[in-house]
Amino acid sequence: MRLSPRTIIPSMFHRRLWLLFLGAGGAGAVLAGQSYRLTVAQGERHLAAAEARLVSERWTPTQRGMILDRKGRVLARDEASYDIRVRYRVITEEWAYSEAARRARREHRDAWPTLDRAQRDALVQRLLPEHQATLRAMWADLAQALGLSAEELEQRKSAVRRDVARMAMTVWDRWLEARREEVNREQEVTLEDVQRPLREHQESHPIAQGVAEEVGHRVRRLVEKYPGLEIAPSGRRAYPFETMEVEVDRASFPSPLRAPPPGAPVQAVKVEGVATHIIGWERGLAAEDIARRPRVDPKTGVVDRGHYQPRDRVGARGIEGSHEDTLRGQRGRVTTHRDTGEEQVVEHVPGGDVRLTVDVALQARVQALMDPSVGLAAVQPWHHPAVTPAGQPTPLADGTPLFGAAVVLEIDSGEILAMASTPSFTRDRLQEDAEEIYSNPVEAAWVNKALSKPYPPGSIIKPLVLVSAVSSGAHALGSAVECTGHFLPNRPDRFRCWVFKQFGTTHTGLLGRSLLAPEALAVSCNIYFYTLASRLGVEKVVEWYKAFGIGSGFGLGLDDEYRGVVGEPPPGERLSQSHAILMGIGQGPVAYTPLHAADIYATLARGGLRLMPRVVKSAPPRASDLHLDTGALDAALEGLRQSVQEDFGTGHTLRFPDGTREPIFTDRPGLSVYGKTGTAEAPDILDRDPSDPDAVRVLREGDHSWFVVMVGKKGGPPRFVISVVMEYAGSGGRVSGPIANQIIGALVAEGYL
Amino acid sequence: MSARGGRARKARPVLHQRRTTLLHAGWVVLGCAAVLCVIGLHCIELARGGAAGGQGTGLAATTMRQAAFGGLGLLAALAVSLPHYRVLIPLRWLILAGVVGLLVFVLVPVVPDSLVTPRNGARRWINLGPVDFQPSELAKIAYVIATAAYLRYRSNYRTLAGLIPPGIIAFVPMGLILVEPDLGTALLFIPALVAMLVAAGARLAHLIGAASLGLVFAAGVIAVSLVFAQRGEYPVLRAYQVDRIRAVVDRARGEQGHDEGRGFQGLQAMTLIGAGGVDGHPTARSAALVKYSSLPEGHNDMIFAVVVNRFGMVGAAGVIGLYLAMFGASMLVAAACKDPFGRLLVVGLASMTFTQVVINIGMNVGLLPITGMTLPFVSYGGSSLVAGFIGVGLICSVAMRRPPYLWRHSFEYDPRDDDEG
Repeated sequence: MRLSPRTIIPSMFHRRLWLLFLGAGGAGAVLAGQSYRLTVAQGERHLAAAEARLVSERWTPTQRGMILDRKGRVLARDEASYDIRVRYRVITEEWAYSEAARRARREHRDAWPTLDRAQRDALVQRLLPEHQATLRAMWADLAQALGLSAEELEQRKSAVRRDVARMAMTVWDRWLEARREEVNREQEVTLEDVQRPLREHQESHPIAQGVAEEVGHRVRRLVEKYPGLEIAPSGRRAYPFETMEVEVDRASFPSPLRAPPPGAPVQAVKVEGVATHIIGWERGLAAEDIARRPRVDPKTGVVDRGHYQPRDRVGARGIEGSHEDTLRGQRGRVTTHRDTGEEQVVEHVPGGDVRLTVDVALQARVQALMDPSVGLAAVQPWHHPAVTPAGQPTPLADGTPLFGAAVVLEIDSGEILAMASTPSFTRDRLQEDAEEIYSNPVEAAWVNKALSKPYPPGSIIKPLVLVSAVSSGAHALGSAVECTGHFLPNRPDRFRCWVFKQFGTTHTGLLGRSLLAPEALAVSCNIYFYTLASRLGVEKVVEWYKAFGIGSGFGLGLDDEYRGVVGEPPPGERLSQSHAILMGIGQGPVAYTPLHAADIYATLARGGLRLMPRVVKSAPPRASDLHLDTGALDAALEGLRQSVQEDFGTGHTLRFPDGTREPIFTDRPGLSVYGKTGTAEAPDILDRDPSDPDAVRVLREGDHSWFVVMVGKKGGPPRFVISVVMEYAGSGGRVSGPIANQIIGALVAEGYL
Repeated sequence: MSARGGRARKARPVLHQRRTTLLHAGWVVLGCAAVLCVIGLHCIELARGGAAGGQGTGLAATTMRQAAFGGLGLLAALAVSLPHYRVLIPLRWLILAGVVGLLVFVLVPVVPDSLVTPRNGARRWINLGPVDFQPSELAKIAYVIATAAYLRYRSNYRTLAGLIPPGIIAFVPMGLILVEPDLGTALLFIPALVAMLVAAGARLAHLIGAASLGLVFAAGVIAVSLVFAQRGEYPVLRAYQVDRIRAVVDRARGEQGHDEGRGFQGLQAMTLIGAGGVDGHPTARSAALVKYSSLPEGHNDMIFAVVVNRFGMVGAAGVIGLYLAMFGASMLVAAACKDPFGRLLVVGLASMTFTQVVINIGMNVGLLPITGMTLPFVSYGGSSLVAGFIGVGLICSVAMRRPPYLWRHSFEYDPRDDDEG
């Protein structure tokens, strides 16, 4: 007999039962197989994932490193401060009702189930005023502890309620949409169905942030007394030298400014925003920060303990911005095993400190001298002739503030001792008055003018041209150049000497001889330097400018360094010999910054050794030798000495409208001063009315005023370079010169000379 | 053989008398159900007790309720098994009509919310004071009774046209349950019908053909939904349903993009199951793993994950084995029964329960999309548990009746009657 299901199981029903059972067995086997796959084959992975959920990680904040000045003074540090937070239910005062209800239930525990709603409510209402009074007392005490008025506190409470309400509505709307998607009958789902309390309704919210230790201490006593009040530590960045008081001694000021204000021999100047441009500030977290340093590197899986989290502050601008990774430090981590409550704590690692080469006391003095209220950086009657000659820009009204920048560089080390840009600002003002700081075209407060703004070099470039021409053999130091008034014999309207333009004469005519190097520099003869530059040729001029660092940055670690440009004529023009001639006096296609100016003079003072300026102490020194002709260097130094120390020097004399005159650089015993004035042609600042293109108001016009000074002990080499530029302050040394002179005084006062 | 006084019976055989026996496979069914129920209680306590933070002494209220329903279920099983199951035959339309009435009742919009409280937008429950009652659980049993009774003496289901009336019987409660909406429960009716048809002797070719058509249709619906979902449109299935299907499809393709959102529930369940390993974890540790896994419905639809986390692969195999034993024992009960109604009743009840098990475990282990469905006897839920025990009672009722000695040849389709062979 053939064996088949039919012969083994004659009943078809029983065969079908077997079929069903085998089907069930098959399904069971599939399920068991998948269970096996999950539990045994992939068990470890799943167990790890499940165990990871038992552990919660809490990251504690980092402590940011300090920024110190060259003498170790703390310019920026994290200070212990506190956030005062209050539970939402206390802010909304729901707490009073629920607390009263809780007490009513407890006090009438036995009777409670038998009471109806109205009776219960009556009991609650009787207890309610007491709890409301508790809250009132709490808000009053808190306002006092925080030094706020009741109205201010009320405003903060309503701000929290408003934010939470807005956020809750958004979330509930989303939930409602999702729920409606999920069920058949839209009309069955209403907002009430999804109005579950959010975490924000349970949590506490900040009423005051970043309060100081003593306020925190006062609030901590209230925490024990009142419900729902919390105090949480939070870091606050403090800038102890942000505002400094500086005494300005007017004894060596130009004589019209010398008289101190009535009743005070010295003037106390409050300097707001000392070194703000250098130090920088903090800003709120941006998405890019989180992307830059995520908690876990997506490629390597490495956990970065310095990662960013919401509410973190990030360094912005200056050292705070550029040294963010050094300063930031690493978070601590608290790992809690949620099932056992066991905690593992990894302490945070404070960020590294950054020490600057800047002397904050000197910096403050420089900024004080450049404060318009002192008078040196404000338009004075003797800055301009009483009657404006035809064709000259209208002078600014007397007392108009002048803005600019100053750099003090130590020659031996290349370290920047001070770098001021006016006007400066405090970080509070940046918060309150950002619009003014960022968009006022005349003040351009947020620009670090010492480092980020291009200026044509003007005549202060002349020593560089002299040394370059001699060092490259284009000009023999001993050969004299005749000042002819204008460089091209047949073109008295082009390439003129300043003395020809202003007085219709020539230096050769005035002195009775052709000019040699020191003298040409001292009188700042344009013809001499046109000649040298044209002998060098345009390529060599550009090459030498670049060798001195124009066109390359310093890598200081501050933002927006302007690298300088040279040899890039305006569009449509080819670089030509006439550009070379113009560049011989620092005009034409060349622009740089006050720091470039100081750096070039320092290189000349070191005999051709270029030492890269530094603002961070730990930055490695970088040096290169330009192999300059020593004779030319000596001649240049002598020219710079004559310029400010000899009567005929362009940087020597301050002339007043009444005909009186006095030297710009007051006699300082034991010191030698070298220097050069300069005038830089500047673009006008215009105020255009967007609705009426024809209505253009000139806000500023005229030239920037340069002065570069080197100073050292008498008989010794120069030790410090001071470069000053004052915007739209007119030609020559009238404004920049006295400021440079006072900065020498500041160096003396701070013990550097 | 009869357990009591067999000899006496032998002496005076009453050939037409109805007989009962206590030695029957129904005990296995009951035993399996009871063991599963105990496992369920343990895991509900683990999932809920853990959720309550382990505070306080004694069992969680949920566990106590479930235990009470378990007792109630046993009583219901006893009550159902005592009368002869054949009394159901004349009552079948009454029962079906009553259940359909209840199903309509939950859907009628004028019924006050205090009586039918929509939960998550679905109207499935009737509020009976301390307990809620879910008519669809009873509908499953009523439907099996009605279908079994309909099919008992027929053979027209050998033809394709003959398959239509049982389909219509299925469609009425199914349609109503679909409207609630409860797609999962509605889907159980088709496998139960197919199983009863298989047992009754319908042509496998027809069933396979119909099943293939159904699968093609379902695949079409899913494919169309997936395609439209790419464009953000949901013409047939709802967005969350498409998401759940996509979660399974993506997982099958080895994509793990569903840590949050649509695959969340399924992923948590799979993680918990996998974490159980070979032999699971002690109660406290397992409770901690479950508590912090954020597994939703850990005491309910997703309880299989809790079971496997607690008892590991051993527990998974044990639970699946218990259900298989239960199904096998039911098949034995059916095999021993000569009465076509009894046979089909048992097959229908067992198949429906087992299908529910396969779907529930399937979604727990990530093979099937998530749909709201309990694991019979294990998951928390009064209606489900009591209905399950009523089913067991009915199976026992069939099991304990022995056929009278004078019983005609058991009715079944005999291919020798059929000229087609």
